[in-house]
Amino acid sequence: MCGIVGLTCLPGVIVNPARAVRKSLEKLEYRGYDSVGIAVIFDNKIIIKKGKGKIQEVHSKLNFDGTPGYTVVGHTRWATHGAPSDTNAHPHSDCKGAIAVVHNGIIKNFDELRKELRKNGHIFSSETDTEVVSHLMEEFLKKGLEPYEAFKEAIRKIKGSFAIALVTVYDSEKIFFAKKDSPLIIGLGNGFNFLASDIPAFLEYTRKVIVLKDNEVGYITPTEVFIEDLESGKEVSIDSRIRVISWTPEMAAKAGYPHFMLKEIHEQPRALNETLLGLGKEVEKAANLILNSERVFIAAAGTSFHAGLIYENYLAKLSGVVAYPFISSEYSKYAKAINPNDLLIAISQSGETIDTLMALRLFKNKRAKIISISNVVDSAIPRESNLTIYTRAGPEIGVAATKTFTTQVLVGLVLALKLAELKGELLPSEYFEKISELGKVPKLVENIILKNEALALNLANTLSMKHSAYYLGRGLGVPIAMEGALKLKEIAYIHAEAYPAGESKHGPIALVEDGFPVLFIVLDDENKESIKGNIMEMKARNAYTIGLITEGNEEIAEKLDYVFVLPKQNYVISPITYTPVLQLIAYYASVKRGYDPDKPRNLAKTVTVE
Amino acid sequence: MSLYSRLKAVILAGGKGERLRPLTDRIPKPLLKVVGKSIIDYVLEGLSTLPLEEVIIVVSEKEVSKYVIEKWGSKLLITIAYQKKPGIEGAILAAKEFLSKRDYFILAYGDIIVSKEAYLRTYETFVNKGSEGVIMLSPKTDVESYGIAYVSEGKVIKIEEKPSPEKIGSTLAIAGIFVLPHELFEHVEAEGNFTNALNELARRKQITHYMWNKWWIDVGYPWDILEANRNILLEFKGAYISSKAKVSSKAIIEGPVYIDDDAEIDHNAIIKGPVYVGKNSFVGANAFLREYASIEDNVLIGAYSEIKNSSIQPRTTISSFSFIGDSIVGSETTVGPRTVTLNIIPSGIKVSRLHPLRIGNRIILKLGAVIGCNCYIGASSVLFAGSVVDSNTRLKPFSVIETNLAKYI
Repeated sequence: MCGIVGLTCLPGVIVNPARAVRKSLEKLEYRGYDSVGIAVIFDNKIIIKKGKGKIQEVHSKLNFDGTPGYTVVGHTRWATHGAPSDTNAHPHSDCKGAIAVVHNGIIKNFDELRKELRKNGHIFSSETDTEVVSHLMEEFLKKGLEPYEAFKEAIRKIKGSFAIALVTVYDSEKIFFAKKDSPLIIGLGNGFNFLASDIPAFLEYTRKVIVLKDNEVGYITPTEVFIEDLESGKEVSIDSRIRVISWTPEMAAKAGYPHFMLKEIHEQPRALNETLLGLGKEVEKAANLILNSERVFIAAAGTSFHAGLIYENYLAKLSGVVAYPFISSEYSKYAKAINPNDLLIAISQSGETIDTLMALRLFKNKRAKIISISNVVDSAIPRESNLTIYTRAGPEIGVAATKTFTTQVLVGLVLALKLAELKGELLPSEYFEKISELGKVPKLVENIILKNEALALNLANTLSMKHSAYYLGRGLGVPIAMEGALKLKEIAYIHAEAYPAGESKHGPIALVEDGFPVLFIVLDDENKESIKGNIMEMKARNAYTIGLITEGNEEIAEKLDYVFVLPKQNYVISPITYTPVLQLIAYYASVKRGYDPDKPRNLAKTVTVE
Repeated sequence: MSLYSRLKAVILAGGKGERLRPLTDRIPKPLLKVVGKSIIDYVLEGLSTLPLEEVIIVVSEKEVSKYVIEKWGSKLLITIAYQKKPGIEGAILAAKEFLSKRDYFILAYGDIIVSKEAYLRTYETFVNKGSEGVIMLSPKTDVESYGIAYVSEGKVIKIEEKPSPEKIGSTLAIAGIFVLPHELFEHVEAEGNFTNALNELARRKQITHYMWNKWWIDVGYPWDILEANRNILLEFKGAYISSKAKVSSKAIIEGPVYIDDDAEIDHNAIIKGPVYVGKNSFVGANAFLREYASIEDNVLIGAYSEIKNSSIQPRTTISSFSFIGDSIVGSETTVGPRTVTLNIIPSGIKVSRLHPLRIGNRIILKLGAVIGCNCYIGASSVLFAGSVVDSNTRLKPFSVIETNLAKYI
């Protein structure tokens, strides 16, 4: 996955276009950050500056800002084809240096295209799949096509997923673009227009956006936007597609916090509140869809999968519906099993997760119904669903999911309650009572964060010196433990494993030795007594026992070496109230170990590659 | 941005340092040494990274102003204000006349040790956020000895000073770096209390925060100096030995160390870093300096003595064959030969801001002795863990001093 940006403006409208693109790329760094580059058209020539490393590092070497010109494309890369290197960094040029292209996605047929182009005398300077695009266009230009026509022909040749922005000296005010299966958004301004992989990239300049759809191609100039469908050749009416983003620009910046992740952890009360307030008729419609289907499947990846496991628990416990959660990339096993009476709940923060999208398409082809849960309006997964319930967490920049997880859980809880009401298991008055109780959750989360931040930091100092940890829970505590362990793994790089506490005896306990950290998620539910036994087992082996418990469980607190005491609560909301503490532990462990929690190595925010 | 480009800063450095006694008996608190620098140097270093118009330092002792002007006068425009009324309120009001109305200003406590970055980030947050003020916060478990803040939706909504443990609803400590509007003075005058004034400000204006996530130390108790030493020494990357230092070829030096100008390390001394040896200090033959020892300037460590996780303030002598561990020794003191400090606090004693350590299966509290200024500790004395020796004390040889932390609780 990568981030791309394009900017074309009239002289003077944006003071330093190269700088604007560099700053936009910084906002997209979460999409990839192993190399970066820009191409600027100036005086009928293309200036390309690119290199391996994070944007700041490369910028301090090459000074992107000092590049003159008003038509700029930029790219921040997460390597797929060709290792991160100066030559593999985008933009890529053709043989003459008259074209520059940036690309997010994968061109599946690049090998055969490259062979063919090499036969025709083209010389490739990188190992990337992307470079075929510029050479293809060069080939079509040679045949006498106009630049835009040549670009379209080139796009027709490539197969795979892509968001592409391309500039050429032959038409120096235009940025050509094409989109399929990778996100691309136009930002509309007065005397300038932007292209970017994500909205925060240009939020500083404009809030008017057009989210492009698959197979759309076109170009932007400083004063014009042209979009058409590549297959039908039909021009797209711009006006109907413009959306105004209500997020405030500083939301995507981290003012007040050292990292986006810490900011996003602290934003959870607000995100929960807005999600709750934003829920409308779609919940009831979704509950009806579930009610009218035979089987319910849940597809998700990573943190969203943990939300999926919680959905399963809610659906079973609150509404008596059995659901089958699975990890999206494992969808193919269901190829023969799905029928039109089935229903899939697809959970994806970005709405672009390729594995979940593929799972969704399988279900869709079998004519099953699709409900999606997403944080990004009009993204690929919602577009292909029968119904979407949106979390309103706002943009999440930290790679590790925080506020999007707790808001996903909240949506699942409301959905399960609605379903219970429709099934007659809750009276409407009981339903409303429960929903109004949920209104107190944001404040509860705020209090928990305030009260436990230093405790989490202290524990993190201890954990940061450990190599391994177990997170154990029972019932609804298991997915909470899984989410906590994932956080510790992905940002603090400490090996952490989550198990149902009862399962630890069946193997994992063999690893426990003096000082081995074992964190228990103790919910105020029917499992409380049995988890006490699990704590004692670990204590007997001199493990360092940590627990998240609720008030009034002093006899459990006594058995633990380190304890977080949360307010008394109905265990059903505990995935929302316990998880922020686990997020803080992972955050501070990461910082203590000297890592950047916003940009964990080898990870990208949105996984758009299978 | 341009409107706020140059602010004035106010440093509150007039505190008496009561909780730091006996170390502050002869030296004002801002001038106590931590790894070769005075506490106030850390604050000025932090502020010097910002585009400031002027730094107003509120002091109550001439010694502090003399030190600051000599050391910093050429780098910063410094104005000295003398504190006349007591308390933090008195200190703040002493700065009022130097600030013009409509101005925002940076307020910094003079006893904070933190990375320079903290000052920059707090200031930057103010510039970027467009709020009426910024308070830096740092998560602390033992908040009952700090002021705490409640935050909601990115805003500071309430401040409490030294809350009682059972009522603590936040673990975010006020970290002693602020950007505040001039209006603060009105509220301090009206309320007569800094905490209430901040609350009043937070109620009327949008006050935001910067969340500091690394170490931060408010030097309030003697052992806070050890904590600061530890954190600073841990950041030493390699070994630095001044070209003016004299290190015997037979000395053994290992790990990150900083050996300052004119220090002398005698034959067979072993220094196992992280360790700091200050200017003009002498480490005798066969002495053993272990991790987190900070030997400030003009100190003499006698032959065969061992120092570990301790602060030896300037112009002090530790005579030969002594063991000083987890201790703080004030300036101009002489510790006689064969003096021993013990360092495990008897269980059941709780000491503010002193954190228990887990060693194997045991949870223990480690602290050696706190020895005042201008003392003479007789030869072969034994100082129990948590013993305190008042300044100007003369102990006979073979004295035994027992645990006595009552004054800090």
